[in-house]
Amino acid sequence: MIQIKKLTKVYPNGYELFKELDLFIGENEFVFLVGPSGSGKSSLLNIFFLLESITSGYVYIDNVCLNHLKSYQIPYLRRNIGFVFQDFKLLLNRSVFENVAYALRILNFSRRQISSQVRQVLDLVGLQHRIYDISGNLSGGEQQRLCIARAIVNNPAILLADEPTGNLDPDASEEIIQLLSKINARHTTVLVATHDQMIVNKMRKRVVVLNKGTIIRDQQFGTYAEVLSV
Amino acid sequence: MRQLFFFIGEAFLGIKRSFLMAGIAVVTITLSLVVLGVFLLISVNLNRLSDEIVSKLELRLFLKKDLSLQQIQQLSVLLDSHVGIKELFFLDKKEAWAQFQLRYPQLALATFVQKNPLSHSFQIFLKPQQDLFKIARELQDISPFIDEIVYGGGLAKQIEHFSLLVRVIGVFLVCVLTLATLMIVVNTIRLTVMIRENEIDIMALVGAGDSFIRVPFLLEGLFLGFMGALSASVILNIFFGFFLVKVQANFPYFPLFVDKNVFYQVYLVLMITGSFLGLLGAYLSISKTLDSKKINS
Repeated sequence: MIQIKKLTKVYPNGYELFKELDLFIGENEFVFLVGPSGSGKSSLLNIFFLLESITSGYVYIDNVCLNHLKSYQIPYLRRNIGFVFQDFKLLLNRSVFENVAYALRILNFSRRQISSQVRQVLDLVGLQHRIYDISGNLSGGEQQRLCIARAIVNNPAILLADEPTGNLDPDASEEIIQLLSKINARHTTVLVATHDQMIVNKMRKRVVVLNKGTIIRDQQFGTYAEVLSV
Repeated sequence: MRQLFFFIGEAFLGIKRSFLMAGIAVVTITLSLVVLGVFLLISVNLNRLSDEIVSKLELRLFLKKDLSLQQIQQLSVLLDSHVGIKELFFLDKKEAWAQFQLRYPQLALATFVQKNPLSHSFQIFLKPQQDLFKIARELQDISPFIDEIVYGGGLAKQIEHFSLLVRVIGVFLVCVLTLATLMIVVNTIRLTVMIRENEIDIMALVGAGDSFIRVPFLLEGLFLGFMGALSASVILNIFFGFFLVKVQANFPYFPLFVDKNVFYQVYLVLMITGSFLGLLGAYLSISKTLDSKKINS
């Protein structure tokens, strides 16, 4: 599903983040990427979502090699990957409905399909009652749930989440992580970059630990405490 | 079709959201096009004036002596077929001599001049925008029956030069004004794009391709350009309506060109120019923004 082989990333200033990194994430897996700030968690997600380029190596998403993608092909790839941003990246002056519907309009869905699919996904994230509210008026937790709704509305095979609970209180964080778990149960591969010890410990899923661009531990049913012990 | 309605809706939503900048863009386009329109109308009038003067100049073709009636008719047919000639009048030499004597009775020409010194001649009026000198040269070579061609050479030359100068300056100014308008439009629309840069980022992140992002902005540019051109046309129509009435009342002999059709043609040119500039301005602005957002290293 997601595979990287000998991935190297060197920034223009000469700083080498990843050096010949290898990783495989299978279909329907739920994986936490953890590690200190600057360890490369977000950069790795950005590379998968084609927000950053690589220096050498190979990155495969769903058997598509990202190295050979032309810039006009990037939007097509992004339509198959959902991305949950820490800062939500919502169209704040538009309604909840419009924010989610936008992803479907790109795919030229009919009005009826859009209406039904948006309602369905808003129901899943618990925002059905706020469907016509302006997204800028939602609370942080609600905005994050809206961001997740937008990311999954076209049933992507992969969901990437970069610090999805970073700006949320513990209760809202709990809700978000339950939601991600629910999405994973619908056969979506979920990859979450996080600092949130509580959710990692609670979920006990596969944990990949990064430090200075190197994978120092890759453990099934891991906890944050075990990471710290490293 | 479904997406077209969506794009149109997005374009109007965009205008509504950045109403102030859209208003500034329309005003900017209006002002630029008013200047362009004033110049076009002045240029049309100057061209018309020079055409009017040139068209009033006549060519006089004096024929060789002792031509037969058949030869004169042959020449008449030949001249009549010339594309640049509007009207042609034959002046019989006897008639011309009689008219000349009538015009200057104090000279008592009949007493001193026994034989008619004049030749048969053709009086020729040209169609508008014809090169007087070129036609005069062509006619000189057209037939051996022509003895001499007389026309207001000096004045015609000056008018020709003036007319050419007006056209050259006109084309130059139209180019400069169009370019200046384009720059203003590009920068104004760029400001509206910059205000919505965050929105463009988000669109790209949810999988919108460049064309999906670009089309609403292009429609917006097209609409703003059209609105600017429409406003400019309305202003020019009001202004010139008022101005022409005043000028004609105070200077009835001033050769102002008041053909409504030409005005409408100028307005049409402004509409097309305005819409095109809006579209091009939006295209350049949004392309620049999209290019700057390509994958970073």
